[in-house]
Amino acid sequence: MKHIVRFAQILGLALVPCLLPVAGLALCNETSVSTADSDLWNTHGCWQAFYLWQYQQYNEGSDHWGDRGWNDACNEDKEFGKMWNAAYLVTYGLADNNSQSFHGTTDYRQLAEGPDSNFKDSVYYAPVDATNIYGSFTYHWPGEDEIDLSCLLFDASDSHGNPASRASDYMHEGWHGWLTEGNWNNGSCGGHRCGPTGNCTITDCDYFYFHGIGAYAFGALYQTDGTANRFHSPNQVQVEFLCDVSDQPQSWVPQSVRTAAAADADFRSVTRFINGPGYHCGDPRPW
Amino acid sequence: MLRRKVSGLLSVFVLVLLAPAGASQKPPSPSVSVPPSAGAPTAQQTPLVGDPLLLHRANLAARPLRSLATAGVPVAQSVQAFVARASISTPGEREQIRTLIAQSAKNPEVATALSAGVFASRTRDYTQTLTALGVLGELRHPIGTAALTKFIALPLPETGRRIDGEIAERVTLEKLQMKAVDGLAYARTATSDAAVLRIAGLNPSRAVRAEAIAAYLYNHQNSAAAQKALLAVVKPNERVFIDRPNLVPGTTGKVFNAQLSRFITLHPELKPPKTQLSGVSAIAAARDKQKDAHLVARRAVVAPPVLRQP
Repeated sequence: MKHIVRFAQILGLALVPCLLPVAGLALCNETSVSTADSDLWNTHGCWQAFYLWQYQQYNEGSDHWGDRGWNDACNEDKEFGKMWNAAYLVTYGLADNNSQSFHGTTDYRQLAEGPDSNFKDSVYYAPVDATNIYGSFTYHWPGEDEIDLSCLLFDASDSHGNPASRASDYMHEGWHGWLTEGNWNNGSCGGHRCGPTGNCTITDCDYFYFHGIGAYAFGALYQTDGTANRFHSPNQVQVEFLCDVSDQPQSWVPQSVRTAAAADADFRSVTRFINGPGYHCGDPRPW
Repeated sequence: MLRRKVSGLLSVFVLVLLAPAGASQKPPSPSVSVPPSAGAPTAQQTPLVGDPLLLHRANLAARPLRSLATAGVPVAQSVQAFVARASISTPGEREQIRTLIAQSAKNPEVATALSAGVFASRTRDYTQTLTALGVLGELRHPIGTAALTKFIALPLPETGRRIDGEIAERVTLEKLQMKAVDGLAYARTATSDAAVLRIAGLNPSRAVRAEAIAAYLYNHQNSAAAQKALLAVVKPNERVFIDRPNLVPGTTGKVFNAQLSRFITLHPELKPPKTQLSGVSAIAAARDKQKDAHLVARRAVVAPPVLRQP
């Protein structure tokens, strides 16, 4: 997860042709789909009304998604199908339990979706062939900010290639938008603190700003008092979303999606935070 | 701070060059008020249903939960079908699935088939393997427990796709091993408990060690004896794992918040430092304000289609 401030486009007009949106080269693995993706997909069976809403709300265009399933939207092997499948989870999959959820659907939707909101400026989504990132947030001026999603988020063999982890990346990258909008300094390593350091084992680290259940009313996740008492980092928002998918899902969310969410949250909690670990969620009983 | 100041100056420079800039780089999106155009995604096939959750309910009804071992069906086949059905199961079906798994707890063929499955799928389908590991752990058969031990001992990859200092393939295996250690701890035999304690102290993966600690505590009701056993083996700088909050599904906010308060009290060293602003310049602030003004037309959030609960 990287945060990039891209000024190259405004430094040299000669570079402009290189930076215009181009159709992807489709190097991602489009021959497989994770069981969790299929399980979630089978709860809606390719819902046309949803993806016709979703591509606009997430600001996706044929220029980026053209050869990645744009004209084959019911093909769950393609990146576009997997993208909107994860958005379906964000839009409908959470129970919004006031006494047990960290945050609500309204928070996660505003954070992930394209339009400008209390959380961030407008963003658009694009798939990229990189395999050295999971996702990235790029600040653009002028224009809308950009969230790129790498092939790993669409790869069934990778632990991030499932709807819960993919959707959690929308939260992580969206939170870089929140940090940018508020002019917060979260570090100089891709928008994170440089690591490994403290209890963080990777190169891009965050702090965990612990808060209890009910500390934020639904819709208030964007709020901060400017201190560490009421603040979030990208990985923390991601963990809290994953915990909400794991522990507070709608009654129809498949087991494979919930289990993958818990595994990602628990791994992230012990590897991403300088002052970690973050919360453990999910049931330690195997079933 | 310097970055923001430089960016502010650059912005002014570009403002002069490109004014009136601020429009989106992207071509306009199709309107929501017109039928799908050439620019909108299309399906090769017309969707079969208009009410998604009715389809889901029909899927579940068409595939009733059956035993891991069904008379007249090869065990490998019945186990595979069980894992596939368990994978789509809802939270409300959890107890029914636990009961079905318990009915095969003495069936070595089932344990063998499940064990073979987790090794076969682990590099192909991560989420399927997670589900199979969950069933295998819940089974608590000695063959399965041995397989889980072997799975956790698989060497972690040292080469692969590097991201933020991690290797993606290694991360995938670590997460699977975390699920495997949940099953090993659930076996609750003297041998498996000793193995979990050994993993909690010595496994090469920090994440697997942490999960071993959480699972050991859970399966020993967070008892003082369990904490003592862990304190004897856990690395000194990882004792914090013994105290951390655990949000098991169904935990109320009140209970969780009490756990969290205790954790923060016990570990004041985990308090994060003060937050920092980027030191944004007045020029950059003006630039962002201008950008917001240009984007105001996109502020309206459109409601998604209504998902009716069947």
